[in-house]
Amino acid sequence: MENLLAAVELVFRADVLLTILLASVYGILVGAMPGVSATLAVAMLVPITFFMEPVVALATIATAVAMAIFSGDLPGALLRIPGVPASAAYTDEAHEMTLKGKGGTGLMISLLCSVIGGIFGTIALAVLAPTLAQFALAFRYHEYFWLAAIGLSTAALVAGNNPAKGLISLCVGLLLSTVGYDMISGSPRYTFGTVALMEGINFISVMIGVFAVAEVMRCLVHPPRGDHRVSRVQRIDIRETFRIMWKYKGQMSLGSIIGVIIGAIPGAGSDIAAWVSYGFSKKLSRTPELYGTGHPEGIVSASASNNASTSTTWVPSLVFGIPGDSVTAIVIGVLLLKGLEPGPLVFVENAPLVYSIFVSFFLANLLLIPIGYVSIKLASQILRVPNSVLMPIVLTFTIVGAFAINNSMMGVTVALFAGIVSFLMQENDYPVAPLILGMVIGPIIEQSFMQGMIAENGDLAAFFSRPLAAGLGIFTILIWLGPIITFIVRRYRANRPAAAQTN
Amino acid sequence: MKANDAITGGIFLAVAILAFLYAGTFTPLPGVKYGPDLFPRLVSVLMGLGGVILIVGALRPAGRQPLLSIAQWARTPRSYLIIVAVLGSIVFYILLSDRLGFLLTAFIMLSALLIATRGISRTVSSLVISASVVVVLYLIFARLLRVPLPVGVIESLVS
Repeated sequence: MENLLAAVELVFRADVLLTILLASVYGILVGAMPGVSATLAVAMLVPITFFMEPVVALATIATAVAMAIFSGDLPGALLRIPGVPASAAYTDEAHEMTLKGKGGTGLMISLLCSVIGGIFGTIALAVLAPTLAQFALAFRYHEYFWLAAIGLSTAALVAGNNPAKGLISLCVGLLLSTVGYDMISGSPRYTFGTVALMEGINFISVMIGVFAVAEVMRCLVHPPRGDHRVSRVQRIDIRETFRIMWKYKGQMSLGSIIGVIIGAIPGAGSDIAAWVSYGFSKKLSRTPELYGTGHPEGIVSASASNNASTSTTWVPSLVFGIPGDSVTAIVIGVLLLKGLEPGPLVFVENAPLVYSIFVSFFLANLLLIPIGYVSIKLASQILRVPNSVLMPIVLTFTIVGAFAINNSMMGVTVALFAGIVSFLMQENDYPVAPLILGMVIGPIIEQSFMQGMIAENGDLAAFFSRPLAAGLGIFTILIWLGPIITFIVRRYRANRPAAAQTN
Repeated sequence: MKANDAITGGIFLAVAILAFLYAGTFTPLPGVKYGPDLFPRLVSVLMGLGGVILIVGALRPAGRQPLLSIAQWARTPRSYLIIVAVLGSIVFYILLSDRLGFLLTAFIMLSALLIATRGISRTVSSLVISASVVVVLYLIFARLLRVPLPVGVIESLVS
């Protein structure tokens, strides 16, 4: 409790509050731009956060993300282009509402559900994270190894349709993470004799390449095709909004709970939460046939869900140092740059800082109500900024950012190469999120694996020797078996009609 | 440009084999059984496995795809212009910003990009947008955040 009070004192300072306000406006604007994802929004903030105190930096990122995850719904509803991937699950539904003239009400529903989901997620974060951290103090390499393995496996298998491509992308990230001096032996690895690679490859530069350089190219060569049929101003019916939210309060709670759980799993974040809860709400609905025709039920569930998971993805990141999604991967990078190693000890040594994140999220979700309302009113003006102007500016900005990471051109060069490679990978349907998570989780999994191998003399069974580690290990293996089982079932189903015919 | 899965799978398989072999050159710590090559080698094996799965999948009769399919966007010259502009402008910045200074390099780079995306007919407004963005970036990064951006003729005049 005293930590919470200390955190409130840290956040309620004029300069911090002003920064939060600026970050909200930034988050809303950038999240609403189709093609600029929440991840890119945060990546663009990184060079600026270098120069802030840790509390301000984290508050800025938390606020911008919470805002961007909502404002991604704006182009989704009006143009049928999701502004951020987390809005994609219900873009068609929201757009159908707009065609019926209920776009304003639909957005208001998704705004208020986002706020409720976000606050629920923040409370879950504030309760879960310190409790888990207590537990995690007793963790040794066994548990860390499995937690990292869970993060990597979900990232590789859940992203994209082809698990083999996810696996390859993940391995690229893991190999990149090994470049430079090895921690244990001091041997240089994959440096090709160059001094520049000795210190390793900075993953924020790679991130800028993947999410800025490649995204700018993708956005310019495949311009997202919007549906501009609706240009009139959408009316917001407040009474209708509350009536619908009350009617579907069950769906809202379910969405929030799904969001909290998915967010807390390492390697899974808000876009997966939105898809899963949209799917669940359709299955549980009394009127599933209305889904896809501009029916608000799924929007209620999914928009509560993606904001709830936005908060709880910080749980594995802060407690274990294992990011939930690419946004929190950047957060870990920022923390490390500030000399703060995420892990259970942060909760002991820097408790007020951690609690200040909870306070910032709470504030951001409250601020979302007025700022989100204004943004719905101004949506058609915000969406008028053409990509042909925006994208070159984003690119220039991120190049300066890549330089500012350690004031060297190396960062820009890495970003260029990462951009080219990830552009080609994405053109060939390779997901790139596993690559980023692989780079961040790589050192953790390698270190815990090597510690285990050396300490236990190569006995792999030792990784199951502690009860919790065994449980986590079995869970990981089940995740691995998932795609294999699906493959066998699909094979079986495909063969069965043929077998029936021959009989 | 979408290549057949067997081609991309083959490329990654080759990368995996090279990474596996290169790991053999890492010097282990004497007396420790598990050296710095273990983890990279495990990862290489997994990556190679992914490559093999893709190749096998693409060669099965059910999974046949064209060797190289050109996506819709890649049929227009404008797309190539944009890709060249984006990559070229970054290379330009890397190579010349130390000599020309941030303001001039970034101005040329952004103007060229904007002209490429918006068309040559709107050059004047592109130059105006570019100049204002570059000045704002300079004020934020060089003045406010004190990032040591490359100094050239213009910077030494204004500071």
